[in-house]
Amino acid sequence: MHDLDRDVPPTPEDHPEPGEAPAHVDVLSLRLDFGSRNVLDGLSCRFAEGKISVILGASGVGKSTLLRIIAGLQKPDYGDVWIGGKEITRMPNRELKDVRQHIGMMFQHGALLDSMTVFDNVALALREHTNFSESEIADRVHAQFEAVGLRDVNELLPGELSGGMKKRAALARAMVAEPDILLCDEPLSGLDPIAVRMIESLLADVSQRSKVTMILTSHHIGSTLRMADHVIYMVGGAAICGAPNQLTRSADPRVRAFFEAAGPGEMPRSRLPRWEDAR
Amino acid sequence: MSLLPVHTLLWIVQSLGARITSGVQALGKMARFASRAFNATFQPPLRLRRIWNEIYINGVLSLSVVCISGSAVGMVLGVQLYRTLSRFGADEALGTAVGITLVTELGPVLTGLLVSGRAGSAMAGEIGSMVATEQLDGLRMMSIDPMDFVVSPKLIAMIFVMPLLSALFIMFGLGGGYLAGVTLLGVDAGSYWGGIESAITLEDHVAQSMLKSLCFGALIGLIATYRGFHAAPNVEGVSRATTQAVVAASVSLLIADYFITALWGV
Repeated sequence: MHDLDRDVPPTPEDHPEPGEAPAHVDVLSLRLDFGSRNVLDGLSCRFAEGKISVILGASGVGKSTLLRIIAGLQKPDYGDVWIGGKEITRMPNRELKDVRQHIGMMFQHGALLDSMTVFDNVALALREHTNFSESEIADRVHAQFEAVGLRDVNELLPGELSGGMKKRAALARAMVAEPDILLCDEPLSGLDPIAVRMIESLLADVSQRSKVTMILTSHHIGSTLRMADHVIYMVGGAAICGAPNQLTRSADPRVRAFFEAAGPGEMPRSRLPRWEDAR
Repeated sequence: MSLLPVHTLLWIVQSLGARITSGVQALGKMARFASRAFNATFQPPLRLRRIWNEIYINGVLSLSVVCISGSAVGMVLGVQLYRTLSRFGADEALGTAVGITLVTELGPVLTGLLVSGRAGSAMAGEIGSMVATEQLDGLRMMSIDPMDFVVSPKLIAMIFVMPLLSALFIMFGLGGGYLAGVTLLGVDAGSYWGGIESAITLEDHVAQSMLKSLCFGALIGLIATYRGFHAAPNVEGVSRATTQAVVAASVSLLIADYFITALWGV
């Protein structure tokens, strides 16, 4: 991690804390090449417990790849990812399955199983990993539907949902097992401005209620400034980290150019509408 | 004839070497995939609902194709074999010839080719599109092994439905042979059915037929799921996986057929 106003990459012991919260996810010196293309070049960053961290950067910079490495879906060529004190990049699949039971992931296009109804999609993790009765499962699934503002979708197939509804169903599926960490890959992409505000409010609301460690990828600057406690700006395979207001005032021309592209009129998080009001 | 330049020869040897190496690597990957798939198949939980669903998709929905093809092939066999046998005055042996050909060879092989074209391609396409839309990753993130949840039910269903579909193909083929040979060309009905009854034995012909259809079912299931599982995550990748699944399954099925036939009873 290249911290603001500092060029020396830190060691694991030398990590600066983002705010007061302790790190939940620690990413150290990741390197990854896709053929001749270098995607991650010694990237290090950390994600604070119970906070919203947004991985920001231009398209194709490796945001989703970083998220997939944190999820254990992709192996880096070099480097470590520590989650709750366990290193996961060299972990056998069986142990990784245990770690993943504490992680929820909302994929960019939902990744809901086409052949199952929305209800079955959300209920799947509970049916697989708990001994809950069907009525308990139904109660939990409906509570998630209520939390994300989905109604009358039990029998619908994912193909029958709109883009925004699909994102909300994906969020319900990611949250139903009450994970400690929520990874969201481009939760705001492909949505109209009103839907963007709704999903933003929803994520902020989920973070506030469940105290989950939320890691999002986005190239949506406005939303990032409104939601994020901590921003990881990816550029050239490395990360520049800091609080949103630190990054907007960064002296680094690459960061400034990116944030200046957002234009004026960004709304601070305090003025974000409540999820209940937004829906 | 002039000799090929050294660098051309080198290029040929290098290309051949590269192809052989990648072929061996692909076989190794496939063997690992097969071992993981069978391991998942024999481990609990047994996903009966998903297996039943796959049996419906791969078996029940293939019924019409198999029955119509079986009847047509049986009728063609009836006519062709009647013409050949009647030259030697042996048209009474039509039932024997149609029966043995259908039971030991055409039944399992043609059913395998039909199923690989219909169900195998659908299987590869479905898994390939699940890769492209991150549905398999979604399962992994819920700590659900896609091998266990997606591949294993398809493999079990394919191994289960192939012998049944093959038996149905043979039944309709025998019926088609009867229609063409007995009803249309005038062969004696008693000698047709009697020839089948006396020539076909359970321990030889039927067992060979069953073994072939079981092996073909496993081959089609494995190749289709493997191709789908390793599809590139885009539309072109899914389409390529589908085509490769059908071609590879058909060719491997014919090669396996030769070996089973040649080694049977040795």
